Amino acid sequence: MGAVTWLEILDRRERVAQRVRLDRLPIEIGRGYACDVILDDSHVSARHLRLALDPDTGGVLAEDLGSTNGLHRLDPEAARVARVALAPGTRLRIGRTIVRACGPATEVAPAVRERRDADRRRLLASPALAVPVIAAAVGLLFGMRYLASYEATAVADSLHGSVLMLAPVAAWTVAWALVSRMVAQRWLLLAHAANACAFLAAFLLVGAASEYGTFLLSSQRAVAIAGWTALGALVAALLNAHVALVSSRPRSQRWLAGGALAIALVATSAYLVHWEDGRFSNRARYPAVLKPVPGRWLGGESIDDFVAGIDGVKREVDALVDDQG
Amino acid sequence: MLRPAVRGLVLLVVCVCLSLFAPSRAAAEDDAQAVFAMAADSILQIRVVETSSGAKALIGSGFFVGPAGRVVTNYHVVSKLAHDPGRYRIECARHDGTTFAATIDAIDVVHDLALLRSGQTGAPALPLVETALRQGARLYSLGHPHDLGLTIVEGTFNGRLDHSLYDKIHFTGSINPGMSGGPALTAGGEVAGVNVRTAGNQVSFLVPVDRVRALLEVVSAPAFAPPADFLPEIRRQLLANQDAYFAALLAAPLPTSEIAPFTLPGRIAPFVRCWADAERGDGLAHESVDHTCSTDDYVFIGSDQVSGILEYQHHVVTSQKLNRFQFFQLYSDLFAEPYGAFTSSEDEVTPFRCESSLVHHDATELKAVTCLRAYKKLPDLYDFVLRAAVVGRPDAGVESSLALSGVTVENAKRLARRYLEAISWAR
Repeated sequence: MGAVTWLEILDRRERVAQRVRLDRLPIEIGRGYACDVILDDSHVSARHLRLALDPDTGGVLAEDLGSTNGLHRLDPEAARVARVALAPGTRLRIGRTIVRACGPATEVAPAVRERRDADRRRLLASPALAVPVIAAAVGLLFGMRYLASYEATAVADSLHGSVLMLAPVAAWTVAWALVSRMVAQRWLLLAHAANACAFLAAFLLVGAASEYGTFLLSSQRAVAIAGWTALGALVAALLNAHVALVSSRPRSQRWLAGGALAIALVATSAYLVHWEDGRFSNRARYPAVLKPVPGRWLGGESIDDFVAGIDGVKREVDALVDDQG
Repeated sequence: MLRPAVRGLVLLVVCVCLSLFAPSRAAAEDDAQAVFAMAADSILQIRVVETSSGAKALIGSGFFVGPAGRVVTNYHVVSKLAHDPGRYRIECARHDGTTFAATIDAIDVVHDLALLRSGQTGAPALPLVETALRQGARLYSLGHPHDLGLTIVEGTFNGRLDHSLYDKIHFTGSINPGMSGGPALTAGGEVAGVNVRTAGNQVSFLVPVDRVRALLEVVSAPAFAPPADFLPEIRRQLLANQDAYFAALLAAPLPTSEIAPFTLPGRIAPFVRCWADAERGDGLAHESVDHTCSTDDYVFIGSDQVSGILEYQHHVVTSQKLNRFQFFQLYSDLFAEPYGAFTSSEDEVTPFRCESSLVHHDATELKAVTCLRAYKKLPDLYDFVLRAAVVGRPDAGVESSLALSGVTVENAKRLARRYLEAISWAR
């Protein structure tokens, strides 16, 4: 057991609010201006606690000065005490404040490794990476639009459609560049454009994957959940990437904010789509997606199994009658 | 400029022709006048009156039949009362303007007839025709078109409809709104049919009198009492009706026809009418052949619910010019087009619920979807849609859809199985 040389004053969440070096004793702790250590805690008395040298042991002794709410030892078990001898690691509570005794041997957590965010940001802002990302996304968009148009004017149609989709991407990029200029005094237009384009490309690929899922799988609920989750992750990544260019907030905070916003956006969209599906219509809504998968790769169920599945749909609509009846 | 002699000759010919036709037209006019005079007292305007406001909700026509003062009209004229007896009452108005109350005794929802009880014993009933009519026989349809007063319309009998699921007479004459439920009479004043529907341009339909006789038999049974609630009776009749035509439909495997490169359900019953069309051309990147079949008629259940329709279509599409992704985008868009003539309100039916799956049968891969919705007030009756698309080839596909209204799930399942079994690649 070593000597007690420092006191940590912890707030209610046990974060260190203040450190006091014990280079002279006795000292008094309380809310009053006559004290050596002043605490802003309304549950602490004006003169609350006194620390003095124990003449018998040579250690530090903490003593209640007749406070309103008393002195509480927290270890080994919580108890109200009049006085207590301190050793490194001993924790006391006065009012809502925790006081921890520390010595030279008290252990501290290892250092957090420095992040190289700044390097990454510079990488994204460099044309060597941004330009290929933008070109790949625009190429992907054009290609997918071309493969999705079947009129005689396929090329013109897909160009037209691609431009229509690129307009909001451009507007988004410019908006973020403006934010950059205001917050970080730099436009970073190329980096924001690369972010938006990377998102667009990922969005197109997730959309295509979800269409194939819709075609191949029977459980549309699973496909929808996977699709919305992927979209949420993409939106969180997009927001995080933009904020990383603009602010120097720690990564955890950025992901937290981006994630929360993404969840809110995706949940709202999913709710709106679900609400639209739930509205009464004389038109049956179903996933009308067909994909060019070779027949030998498709494992379908038998007609009997499929027809037997109609009973499940019957139970579903019968439940609707009961709900509304 | 014609010479005077020639002009005189032309005039003479015209006069001779007119004089040849004049007697028969005069006879027809006499007939119409005689029929009107004979029947006017037997024909009524049927008013469905909203009880709280006393205002007319609906008007139609009707006529006395049988000795007990019973009145025949269309079910669709009095359907509001059958659905909501507390809110409406029936008022019958004679040609002279006097009125009396009536209640519903019996209905035939499938053939759109209702028999009312009026208490007007001894009222002048119209006789029902006993002999078969010949095509071209002159008929006189009577009723109150557009609330304009009792009107007589001359037309001809053109036989029973061959292709209709619901027995009807084809009457060439103008039936207008308000005349529903009125009689179509022979020159002798006998009822040949009951006015029910028009397809416009003098194409009208009558309910044959055997259906009126069948209803009269129902009410003359010793133990007969009119039901307090007609919904169970409507349900019973709809269930029996669909069971009857499904039994005929499912008696044998469905006939197929080939639309290259597919074998597909052909004309599956005599009561459906089929049409085909094709789209080909240099300006198009694909070729398509449409084949649609449907019943001509429907069953009226209420002012916002019709039922009893069977329809299906095949949409074969092929392309040599599109790549596989483009072709399947076109194919998906076709598959997404809505199908089925469903027109019911939220009060009557639930929303549709669907399931989809890949189905394998006879070396054919299908993406199949079934959708179902329940009739809220008529348990065990559903609207049903089956959609199937043959997949697996990059340049050819068929989207085939079947829609049924007012059927049981068991019948829908049986027909869906037969229908899917009839879809395959042609050998």
